[in-house]
Amino acid sequence: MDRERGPPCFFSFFIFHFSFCILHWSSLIVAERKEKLLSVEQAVALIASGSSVALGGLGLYGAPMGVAREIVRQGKKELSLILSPGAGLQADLLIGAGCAREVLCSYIGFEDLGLAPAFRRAVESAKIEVFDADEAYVVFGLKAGAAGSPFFPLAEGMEGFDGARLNPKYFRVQDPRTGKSHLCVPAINPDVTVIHAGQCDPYGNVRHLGSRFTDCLMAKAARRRVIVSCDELISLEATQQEPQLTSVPGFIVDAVVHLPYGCHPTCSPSLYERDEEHLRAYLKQSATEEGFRRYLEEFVLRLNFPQYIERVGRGKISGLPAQGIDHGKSGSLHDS
Amino acid sequence: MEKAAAYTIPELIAVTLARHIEDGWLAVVGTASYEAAIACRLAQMTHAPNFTWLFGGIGAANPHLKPMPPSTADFRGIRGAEAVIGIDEVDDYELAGKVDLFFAGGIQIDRYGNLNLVCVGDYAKPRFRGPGSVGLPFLSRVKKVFIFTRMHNPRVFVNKVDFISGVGHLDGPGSRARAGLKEDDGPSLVVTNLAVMDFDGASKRMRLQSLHPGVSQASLIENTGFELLRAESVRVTQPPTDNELRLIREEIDTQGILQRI
Repeated sequence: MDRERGPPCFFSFFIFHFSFCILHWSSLIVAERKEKLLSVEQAVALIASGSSVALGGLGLYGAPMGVAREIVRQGKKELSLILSPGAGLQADLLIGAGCAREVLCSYIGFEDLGLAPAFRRAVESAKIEVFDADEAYVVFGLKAGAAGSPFFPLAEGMEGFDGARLNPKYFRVQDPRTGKSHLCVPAINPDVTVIHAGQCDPYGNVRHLGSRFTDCLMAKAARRRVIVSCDELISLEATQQEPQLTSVPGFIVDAVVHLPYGCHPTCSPSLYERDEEHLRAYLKQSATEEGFRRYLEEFVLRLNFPQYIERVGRGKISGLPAQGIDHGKSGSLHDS
Repeated sequence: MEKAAAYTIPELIAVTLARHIEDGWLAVVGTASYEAAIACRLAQMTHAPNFTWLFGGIGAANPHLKPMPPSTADFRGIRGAEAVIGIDEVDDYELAGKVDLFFAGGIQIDRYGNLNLVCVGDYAKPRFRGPGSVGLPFLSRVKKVFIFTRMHNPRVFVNKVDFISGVGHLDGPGSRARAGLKEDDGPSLVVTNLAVMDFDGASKRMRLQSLHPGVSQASLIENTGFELLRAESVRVTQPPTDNELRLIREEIDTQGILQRI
């Protein structure tokens, strides 16, 4: 940035400075665009206990695990979780650790690997309030939230689902034009949305290196904050070269956390596989409450993010490169 | 018997589902559905080249699945696809009633084809908590439903589900119409590790069509928690042909997931 040289005398300085202020005031104020980079600790500090938090990813793919573990480490309580139509470890961990008061969900499980042990225990012992939703509730509720609409009326026939009767958040509205009554879902506006993507630039422009799941909708619907963790930090110039690849625009993102392997032990699409050995060990150990507590101690509470990666073995994770889709653009992750 | 091609039960399920897919349909395949995804691809490669299917979670339209990825949410499922759309867009088509066929399962399946993925026992205090309904409530917005499971036992095949995640024929004749649904839509096929069933047009109850090779009627009855109707002539399920098995193993499921699960 150009700096003005010192003036020859006080008077000329005054005149000069005065005119400078008039002519260049705005350029001085917006001298530098603000990067949104935060540490995972700083980003999670933005989440207040008691707030509603949407977690992105789908099943064991693209889950923001590094941020989820930090939420447990910072002892957040009474969260109201909003989950994508397929949530796995990210939900099970927060529920088992006692971070959540209630959960709006349509599926919590480990898909082909099994059921979610901590979630099951919490429900079977009535330790958590579950709002049994379906995929339509989550998706169309987020759509309404993203558009600032109060609710979304669903097409006819969706009331056959028992959740529509047992989950008090569903309601009916009569269309004044036809007199017909319609099942509706309320808008979903999470206080904070947390997603993980393969790449992001310092200003929050996100690139998913695979499917986007409900990540973009969750980001759009957030009331207050959007936190993005990413495996690879790319430059703004890289974003600008191919802006059509941006999946979430930076102007709705508040915090960018550069977190290589931030999905582990879930998969970051196109970058690394899910760590099945770790996931299966978690499921086995968490079959009992004591086992789950031990897992928390061993992998979450005692370790910050770099220590966790060290503990599970950086070499092992980077030895799990995802074969299959070559995006031709990533590659920095495993080199560093 | 000579030269009976050795096949696995999941392969038999996939082949049977594929044979019932009609050319020109649009189908959606959801979570944990290896057999259904492979059936879709097999149908396209055999009798239904104009059939379209969406791999739900990742939103892939007509992926080629060579090989079948380890999970239906896996990004590799988009290989060879013609389009990748968001979950929200898949849901648009489902809610708008544009989908002809949905593949579904459950922790409980009842005699009218209602499906439960939520709980066993009282909802407020369940004996067993399942994962949740995911996309099953969309069943009321699609025309046909193919039910499939590898768990044909009396805990899954119950007289009445404890929670309706996906509507079948509800309480029998007339009940779909009363709920504002088309009486003739809904579950039309059930394929399990033991048998193939459909639904009787008049009573809407599940009806045995064929037993898989080597399965006795006695064992089917023992493993079903309600009384099954019987078709006029109960047959033996036609095993996979050499060609079907070759297509599955060499052109689709090249990593042999259906031989492992």
